Amino acid sequence: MSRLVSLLLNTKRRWVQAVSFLMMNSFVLQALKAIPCLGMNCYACPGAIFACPIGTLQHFAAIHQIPFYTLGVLCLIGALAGRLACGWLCPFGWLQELVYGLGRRFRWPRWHVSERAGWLRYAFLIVLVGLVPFLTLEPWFCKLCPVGTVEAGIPLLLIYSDLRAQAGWLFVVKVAILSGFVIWMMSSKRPFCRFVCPLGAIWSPFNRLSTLRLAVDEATCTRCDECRRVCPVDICVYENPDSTRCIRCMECIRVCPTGSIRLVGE
Amino acid sequence: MTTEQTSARSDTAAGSRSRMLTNRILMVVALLAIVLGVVLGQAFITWVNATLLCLSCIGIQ
Repeated sequence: MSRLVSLLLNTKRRWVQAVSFLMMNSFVLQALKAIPCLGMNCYACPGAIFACPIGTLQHFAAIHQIPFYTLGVLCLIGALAGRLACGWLCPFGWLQELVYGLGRRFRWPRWHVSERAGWLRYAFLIVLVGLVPFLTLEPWFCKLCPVGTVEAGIPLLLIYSDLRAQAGWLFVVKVAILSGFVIWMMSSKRPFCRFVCPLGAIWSPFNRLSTLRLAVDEATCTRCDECRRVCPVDICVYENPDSTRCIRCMECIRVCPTGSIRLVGE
Repeated sequence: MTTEQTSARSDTAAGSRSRMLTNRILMVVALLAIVLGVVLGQAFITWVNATLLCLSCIGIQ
């Protein structure tokens, strides 16, 4: 476990995110689509090699089966590492960080949204991923998902010209939703992760129970807020190291001037 | 060490043990769920669903 911790702390996260994006969309080994993707990556993307877990959950809701396999994989990953995959592997999380960086570079105005709205991601999970597909037999989260728009919808329409005529008003709505998120991403840190992502909603409760967790030494912490400044999801780590929003990126560990934050494994 | 500090440490240790136990139970349940899902053919269903061309990304089924 200490070797894993050391490896994570000594690895450049941005490179891991970039490699993860390329690997998840490398168009090889289609047999791997039996495996749920450890991040939001639309399986309709021309190059996708894993199955989007949210799309899969909606499919099982539509066919009225309990998705033991997909939930088992997600719960196993959650029990091991909490939301670590959000911080290191998820392509859409990486995209949000890149866009936020652009927003800072161009001095885009910041927009603070109350963290109390974080409950919305559970609402999206239960209603749009569970209840609506169960009742309508259609994957309505997929039909609105900005991840699918940017990773699959737009590339598919660019590659296959005969699909363009089939894209109707709902695709216009999807592009509008994506555009809204892009503007939001420039103003706020990881808004999709904090307020919408149903996959993050599944993994969030595991942060308090996972094998890998963050711990803060309150005796040495000076509450300088450097951790919050670098945190991709805007957490005061010293207040709540096991926050359900934490994506285990470990930027706070790298930046803490007193070394008060550490990653522990049980 | 005072009685309160000892008690607080015991509570923290007890909480940690409780968390570890819950974590181990969750992992075992997750593994069993994966096995059950594979036996029920859900891995195959996942593969079929993910392999077929899905057009939800352009707003249609």
